[in-house]
Amino acid sequence: MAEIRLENVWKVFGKVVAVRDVTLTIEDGEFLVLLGPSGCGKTTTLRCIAGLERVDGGRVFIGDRDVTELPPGKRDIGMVFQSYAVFPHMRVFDNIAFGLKMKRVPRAEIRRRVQNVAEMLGIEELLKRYPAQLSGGQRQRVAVARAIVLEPQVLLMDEPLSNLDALIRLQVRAELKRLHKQIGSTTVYVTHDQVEALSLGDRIAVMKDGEIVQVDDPTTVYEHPADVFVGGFIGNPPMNFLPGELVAPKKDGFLVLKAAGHEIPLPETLSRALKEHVGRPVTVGIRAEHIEVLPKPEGDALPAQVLVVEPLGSHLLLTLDVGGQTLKVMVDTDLQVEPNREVGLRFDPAKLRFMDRETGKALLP
Amino acid sequence: MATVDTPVEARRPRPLRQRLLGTDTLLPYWLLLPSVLYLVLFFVIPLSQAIVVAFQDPDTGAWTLKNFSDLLRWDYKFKPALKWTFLLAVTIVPLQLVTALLVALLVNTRFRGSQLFLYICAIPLGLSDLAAGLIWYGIFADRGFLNSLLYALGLIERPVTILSYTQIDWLFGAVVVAEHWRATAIVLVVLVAGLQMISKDYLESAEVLGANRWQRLWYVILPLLRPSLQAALIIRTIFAFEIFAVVIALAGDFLPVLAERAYTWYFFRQNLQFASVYAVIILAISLIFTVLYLVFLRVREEERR
Repeated sequence: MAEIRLENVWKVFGKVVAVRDVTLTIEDGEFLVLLGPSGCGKTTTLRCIAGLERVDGGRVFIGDRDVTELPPGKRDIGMVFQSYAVFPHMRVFDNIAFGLKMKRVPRAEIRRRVQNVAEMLGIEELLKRYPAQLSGGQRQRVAVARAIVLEPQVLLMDEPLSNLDALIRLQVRAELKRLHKQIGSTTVYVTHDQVEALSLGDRIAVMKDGEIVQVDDPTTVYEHPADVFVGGFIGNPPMNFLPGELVAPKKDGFLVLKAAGHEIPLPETLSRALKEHVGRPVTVGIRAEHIEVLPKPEGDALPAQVLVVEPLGSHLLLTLDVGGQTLKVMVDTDLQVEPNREVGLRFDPAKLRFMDRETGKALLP
Repeated sequence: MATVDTPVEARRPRPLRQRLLGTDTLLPYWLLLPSVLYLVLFFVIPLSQAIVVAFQDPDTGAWTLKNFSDLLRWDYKFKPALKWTFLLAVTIVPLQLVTALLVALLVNTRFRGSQLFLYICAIPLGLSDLAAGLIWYGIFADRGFLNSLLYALGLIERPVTILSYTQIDWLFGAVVVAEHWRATAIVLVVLVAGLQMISKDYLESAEVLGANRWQRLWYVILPLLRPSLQAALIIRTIFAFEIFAVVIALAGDFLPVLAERAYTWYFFRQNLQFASVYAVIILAISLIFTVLYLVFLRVREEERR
């Protein structure tokens, strides 16, 4: 077991900067998810840790060893590829035993360790089969078994679930989480699927254009995105964003948010924290489930018009128009709404996320 | 006045293509026809005629093995021809395989200009074997390029005779060199194509699991390359047993080989029977090797990707 440290890592392909000055510490035993859209550099970052790419700048540490110049085979890592890369010409047993064989582990021990890992993953019945005789889920388990049989300090996984059917994916996802608790090796997991990231990660590192935008635990990444990109990338539906402005009223010291043609008074703590940003154009973010919908516009509720109603089974997804801006709102199925109806919106201003309109960066941590 | 309309579809005449060629399901067979005709006309018919001639008594027309026993008795060059053909094949084919594999691995590293390099390596593919033999004759002859070069470098004082019936080992070596130069490219092209089919994930996976260069070659690349190795070996071995023009150009009949014997019996001695017997022997050897390759290098269904 060991921590992984990336210090100012760069990787450039021709004119494209795949990884830009990434510094990241992954703690011993942690499950860290690298999340981002395709082309953001997450897989390249993983391959730099694996040693499959030589870094163009910076250093990579595993434990207290500087592994920057070491080949993959000497870094004490296990890796699961997106394609699984299970050798088609070897039986499952020989696939799992491959790494041990390369390290010239005695035969009896190989048999014992392969048997153990196969039992741990529930594939001991498949040891004599060839990969072509396995289902996708079984092949994926063989790939995992082959990686962990060497008891590596670090386990690297590159989109290991993306080739599985939706149903099996759910099941394997839970198994991976259990497996990580069981073997406890430091794990780096690459995915573009934000649900996977939220469900698996102890922490999530969100990447964009080769840079890490935010590293936090799943709740923080979800509730307090560091910028508009993270808020828009994570969550289904993504966070709502409205252009707005912070103004200081005449009477009390509290601030008012002007957005979507309305004025929303902010509570004391928020007002104090945002005081220095008065007068600045902001982008306000709010999650779909943090907005309460009243059947009628009443009292201080914001009036809105229902545009679309999409039943999602457990919830209804509403598309609303508020002062010319579109909002996605998640409500319980028992709410009686239909398109064109006027409704009222209420929300806790503390759930609002304030971002600078120009840079997109969050104004508050 | 209600008339029953025929559906518009049925009234429209079938397209010309369909009327000429039948339905779409027949189309593939029409497309195969030219090559099938070619094969029947120039391979199947002559081949069956040769087999018939080889096993028939020329006078009575009865089925017999007499032609074979006569050949063994009369053609004192049969055994040398068999020996040299085998020796050439078992020397040239493995040599070509190793060279082609090394060059293919080099090309597959995708170094700058590797495509150009591959094309240059493939140039001899475009030459007829007789032309290739003559090129090497020009190199190995007494006043050839090799002697000129060695003389210009001051390494020799007078031309060295390489191609002479008194030194059959040298003739053999010259043929090996020329064949190696001429026909390795076909193996190379097949192996490069095979290597490009191997996903780099397998190699990286093996690398992460601690396999070094040799282990990756031995445990991953070669087994996955088996179908290509099989194809290349079959092609090359069959052609190796048919070796002819390069030998004629460099060694005449001082280095007897099976195809040369068939040629000699047919054209110079007008003996159709013996020529056919040689053809049948070459065919039998090629068949045996093809079957051996198919059996020993086969990729079982469950091992496929």
